Amino acid sequence: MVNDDYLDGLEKKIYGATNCDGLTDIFCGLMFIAAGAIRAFESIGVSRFLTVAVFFPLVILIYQAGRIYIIRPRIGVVRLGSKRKMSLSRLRYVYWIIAIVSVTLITITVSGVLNEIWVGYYKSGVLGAYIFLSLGLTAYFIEFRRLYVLAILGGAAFPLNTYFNNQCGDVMSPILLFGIPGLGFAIYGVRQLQKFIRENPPFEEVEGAG
Amino acid sequence: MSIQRQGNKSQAPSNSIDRLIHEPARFTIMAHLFVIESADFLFLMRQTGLTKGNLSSHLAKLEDAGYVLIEKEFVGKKPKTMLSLTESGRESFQNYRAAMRNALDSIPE
Repeated sequence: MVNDDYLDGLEKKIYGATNCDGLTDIFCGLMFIAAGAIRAFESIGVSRFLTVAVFFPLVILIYQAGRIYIIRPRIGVVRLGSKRKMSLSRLRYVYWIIAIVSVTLITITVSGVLNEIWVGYYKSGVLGAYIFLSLGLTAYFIEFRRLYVLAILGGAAFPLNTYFNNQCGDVMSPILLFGIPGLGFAIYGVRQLQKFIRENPPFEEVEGAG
Repeated sequence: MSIQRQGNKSQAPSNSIDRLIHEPARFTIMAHLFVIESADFLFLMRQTGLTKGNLSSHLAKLEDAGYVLIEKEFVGKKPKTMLSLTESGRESFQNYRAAMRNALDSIPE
C-alpha cells in the first residue's frame, strides 16, 4: 500500500479513467473516415481543401464538446501529476517535429523536385512511415494502446493504396483503407461511450464540499 | 523484563504513524491526491468510491489538519471544488509511508 509500485499503479488507474470514455476512439475514427472521404468528395466536385477545412475542425469540435458536455459532468476534472505532465510535454516536442516534417513533405510534394517514380515511392513509403511514427509516438506518450492499431493500419494504408488504386479505383481505395478502419474505431468508441454513460450517471457538483 | 523491552522496541515505529492518514478512507484520499496535481470533488468521489457525505467529512478533517487545500474555481463556466495536497500534506504523506515501512520492517519474520 505504501510502496512506489502501489502509487504508480494508482496514477495509471487515474490516468486510465480519463481515457476509458471512448471519445478518443471516436475522434481517431472520425479523423480516419474524413481522410478516407477526401477523394470521394473530390470526385463529386467538392474541393480537397474544403473537405479538410470543414471535416477536421468539425471532428475536433465534436471531441471538445463531448469532453465538456458528456465526460466532465460524469467523472469530473483532474490535473495530472508532474511525471505525466512531463511525458505529455515531450509529446508536444514530438508534435513540433511532426509539424516541421509535414511542412517539409508538403514542400517536396508541391515543388516537383521528385520525378514520377520517386513520387510513387515517396507517397507510399515515406507517408506510410510518417503516419505510423506520428500515431505510434502519440500512442506511446499518451499510453493509449489502441492507437497502435490505427498507427499500423494508417501506416500500411499508403503502400496498400498504390495496389488498391489499380484494383478498385482511386475513390474506393481510400474508403477501404482509411474509411473502414476509421468506422470500426468510431463504432468501438461509441460502444465504449455508451458503456461509460451507463456506468457514470451525471452528478451535480456539490457546493460547499468539505 | 527483556520481553517487555523487546515489545516496546517493536511498538516504537508504529508510534510515529500519523493516525489521521492511517484511516483507510483518508489514506485513499491522500494517496489519490499525492499522485496528481489536483482534482475536483466529483473526480475524487468516483475514483475513491466514497459517498458524497463520507468524502466531505474526511476532506474536512484533512483540511483542518492542513493536509488538503479546498479551492473554489471555475472550469469553463461551471464552479468546481478543486482539491489538492498542501506542501505539508505531501510531506506528511511521505513521512507516513516511511513510518509504515519502518513499522512493517520491524515486525519479526
